[in-house]
Amino acid sequence: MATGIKISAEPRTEFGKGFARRARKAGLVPAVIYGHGEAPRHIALPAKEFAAAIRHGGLNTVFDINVSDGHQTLALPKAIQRDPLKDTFRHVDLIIVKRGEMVTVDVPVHVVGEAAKGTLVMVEHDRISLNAEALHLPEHVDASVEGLDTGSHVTAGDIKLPKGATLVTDPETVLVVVAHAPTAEEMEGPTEAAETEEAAEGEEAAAEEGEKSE
Amino acid sequence: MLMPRKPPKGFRKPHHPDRSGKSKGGNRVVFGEFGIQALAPAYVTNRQIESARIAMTRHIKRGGKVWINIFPDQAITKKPAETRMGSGKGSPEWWVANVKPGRILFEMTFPNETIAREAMRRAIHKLPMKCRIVKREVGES
Repeated sequence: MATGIKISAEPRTEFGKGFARRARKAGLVPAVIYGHGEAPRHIALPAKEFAAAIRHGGLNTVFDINVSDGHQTLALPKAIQRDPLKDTFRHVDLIIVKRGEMVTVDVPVHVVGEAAKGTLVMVEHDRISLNAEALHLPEHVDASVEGLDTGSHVTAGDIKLPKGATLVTDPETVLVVVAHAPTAEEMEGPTEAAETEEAAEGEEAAAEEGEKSE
Repeated sequence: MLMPRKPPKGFRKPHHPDRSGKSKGGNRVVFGEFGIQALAPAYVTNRQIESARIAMTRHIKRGGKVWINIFPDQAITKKPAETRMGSGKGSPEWWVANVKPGRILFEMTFPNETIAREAMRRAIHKLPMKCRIVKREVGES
C-alpha cells in the first residue's frame, strides 16, 4: 500500500459551484481537510496526480499534502465524489491523520479462487471496515471461495486480516454467496410466465379504470 | 413484460416525464459484476427492457444472473390515428422508464467476461439510446 504520497495543493479563496466548475476546468479538484480539532482548510488538488494516486494505491491512500501557503499534513480520503459519466473527481473530503494513529477505513474485498463447478459466485458486500494503523492500511483483503459448493458463503469473520488490523464490521456479515448456477430454463422460464400473469392483471386493471373514467 | 399492476389514482394519463438533468442515483454497479450505463436521456419502454433482457439471457444461456434496475412505471398516451384535435387526452399506449444519463439499466454476473460483454453489447442494440458497459470497481459501490 502506498503511504504518504506527496501531493502539492493550493489554498482555495473562492467557494461555490462557479469557482468549483472553473477549478475543475483548470485541472484541479476542490477538496477540504479537517480533523483533530483543526479548522477546516479548503484546498484544490491537481486532478491528474490525485487520480493517479487513487488508481494505483486505492481509496485508502494516505497523502502527504503540501499546501502552497506552507501548511503540511498527512491526510486520508474520507469521502470522494465522482462524476458517474466522466469518471472524474468532483470533490474530496480529507481527514487529518497522525503517524501511528489507528483509523477505521473501508477496505475492498477481492474474491479469489474458484468455486465448485456449476456454481455462481455472488458478491453481497465488497467492502469491510477495519481498524488499522494509518500508515499501514491494507490495500485489499482476500475472500477465498476455493472449492466452495452451492449454499456456502464467506462471512466477514472468515477473512484473514493483515497484522495489526481488527475487524469493525459485524463478523456475521455475509460477503460472498456461492449459489447454484441457473440453468437455461431457470433464466428464461419463470420470469416470462410470471410477467405474462402480471401483464394480464395490469391490463385488466387498466381496462377497468378506463371503463370507470368513460 | 414489466408494467405496474395498477397505476395510482390520477397517474393513468400523466404529462410527459421530465427528461432534463443527469441520474441522481443508481449510477454505480452494486448487484452484479458488469452493468449497462445510459449515456443519454430516453424513455425506455417495457418491450425494449424485455427485448434487452432476452438478448442477454439467450447469449449467456446459463450460469449467470441478470438484474433489471429500471421499471417502466410511467404511462405514455397516444391519440388514435385520424382523430381531430381536442376531445380529451388519448389513451395510455406504452409504459416507459424515464432514464437519465448515468443510470445503470441492467447488471449481470457471469464468470466469463468476454461472453458477458458480448451479451451486454447485444442488449445495448435493443435500447433506444447510447449506452456503455461498465465494470464494478471493487470497494466503490
